Amino acid sequence: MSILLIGAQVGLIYGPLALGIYFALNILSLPDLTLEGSFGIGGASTAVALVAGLDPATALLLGILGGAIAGLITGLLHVYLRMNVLLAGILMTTAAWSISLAIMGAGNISLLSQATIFTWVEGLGFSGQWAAIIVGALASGLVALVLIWFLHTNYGLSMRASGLNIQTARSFGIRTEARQIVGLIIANGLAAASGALVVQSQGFMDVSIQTGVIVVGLAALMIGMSVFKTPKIIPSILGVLLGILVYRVVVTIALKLGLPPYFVKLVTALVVFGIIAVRANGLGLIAIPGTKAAKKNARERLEYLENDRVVNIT
Amino acid sequence: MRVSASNIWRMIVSSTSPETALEVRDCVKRFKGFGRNEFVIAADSINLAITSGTIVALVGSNGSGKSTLMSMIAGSQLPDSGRIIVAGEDVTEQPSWQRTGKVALVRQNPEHNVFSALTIVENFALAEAGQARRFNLKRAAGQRVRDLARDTLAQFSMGLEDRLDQLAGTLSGGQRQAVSVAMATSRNPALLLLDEHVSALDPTRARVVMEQTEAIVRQRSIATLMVTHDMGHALKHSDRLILMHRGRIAMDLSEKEKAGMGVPDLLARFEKLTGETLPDSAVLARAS
Repeated sequence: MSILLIGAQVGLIYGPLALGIYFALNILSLPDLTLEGSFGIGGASTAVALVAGLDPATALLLGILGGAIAGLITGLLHVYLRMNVLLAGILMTTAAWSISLAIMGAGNISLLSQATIFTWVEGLGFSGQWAAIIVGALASGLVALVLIWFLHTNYGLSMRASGLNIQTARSFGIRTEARQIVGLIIANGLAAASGALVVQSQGFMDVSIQTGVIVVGLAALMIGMSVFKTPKIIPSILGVLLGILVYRVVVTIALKLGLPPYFVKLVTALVVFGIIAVRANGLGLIAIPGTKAAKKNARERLEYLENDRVVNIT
Repeated sequence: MRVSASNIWRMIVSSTSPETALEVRDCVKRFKGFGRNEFVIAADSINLAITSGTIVALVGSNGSGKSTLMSMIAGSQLPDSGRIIVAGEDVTEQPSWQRTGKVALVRQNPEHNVFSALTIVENFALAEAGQARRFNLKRAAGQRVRDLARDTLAQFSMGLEDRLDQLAGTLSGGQRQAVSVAMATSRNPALLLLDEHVSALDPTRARVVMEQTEAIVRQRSIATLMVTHDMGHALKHSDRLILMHRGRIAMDLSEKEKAGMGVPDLLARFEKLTGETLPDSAVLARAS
């Protein structure tokens, strides 16, 4: 039970980030790495806003705005400079490191004396752990509900169409480049929201929080997409949120088993490898050579090798 | 009054009869070949006018420029020179997404006409919103769109009207093409482009979809330009038959001229005119 609670406490505030990655990768089909940089910019903006004396909610909104601007720039680079999104994202994330430092004016900022959304909730009589769970659940739940609503509107549907097939979408009257830019703004705003929440939750901002954070969201996405294998929106979004919980629980168990904290990233990578291995190979992976299952697996691998290997990330 | 080139052009365009659904004027399209200064001429000064309510079949061997012409009209490729006028409006420089109110296109590959990962009713909702280019924040698959989809799909008698909430990816190729034609025609475009839309289907399905397409197009009186490799379809389901060869219109047969003409007559005429044979899917199918 305590492992589940720790998983929810640490994991749920990463819900908006995971949903942002889902939005960029699955809805828009854009492998946008800017999300990592936006996470840092979101954290830096919220930290500076809190130090400047703004209230925690406004600081969170400013953090989201910072990420949204990063997303806008990536979108413009893709549409107007005709730059590959992957490349634009890598460059933006590199730039985001300096931008975060410039926003902060220092390598790290302590928020120990500042009120945060978490101290607000604690003020209502909840423990620190429950405050983190409540804020994380509210943030993730709210983002999930808004996304579910949005993606079923005419505009949201046109955004899904742009991610499915650009030429077909354009023949339906959809200005796909506008959808890509708006979509990247939304996805990066969500990543920045998680960055802002993480900073408010841990009480300090360090520029290194962004490093490798995209893998956390990817792990959640992989787990989620493996649970419900459907293009439908509601199960996919619920799957991503479930994924972030499962991922955090696995990491918590690994730490409880005595692994040192610097192994967290290795565990993360192993979790993603494991999920993909099981999803691609099933039980064929551990089948004894010569058995029916092993032969079936070998045949499937051959088919994979024979085909064009431009595989969807998820 | 200052007489500029654009003014003269505007006068010419405005003088176009509203009865003309499509007018292609001197359209040229060259593609760069592998050589340094080597160009392939895909469309060589094409001139074509289609009056409202007529169905025009467009035939020709591979590489004759049919697809290039269709792409230029739909907007996915821009001509190097020349103009394209749909329902009296010059659309030459418009991107494809701005043309959807006037031009509807059904492609050969069913995957490119419907979104497999969306439900049938969601596909209809997109087509509906795209017609007016009104992508707002209202719920997409509302009752009005459901009614429209149900009524339009019922015309095909394939039972599709009862499967509105299923993913379009669960439909067969023929069913997806039927959905595509239903969506394209429900928008009442000035011009419908059919780019070999039944050629990926088996002969029975192809016949059913082709006959239904013609019935709907005739009932709604939509001008249609239909590319096909099936000379039987080209003769049977059209009011006029155009044959392209090496980027030019080589033959243009009116309803009167093609009356009583059979597939062998058409093939013989093509051979005489161009010195080449025309691959006909119907003939190939019979031969195999």
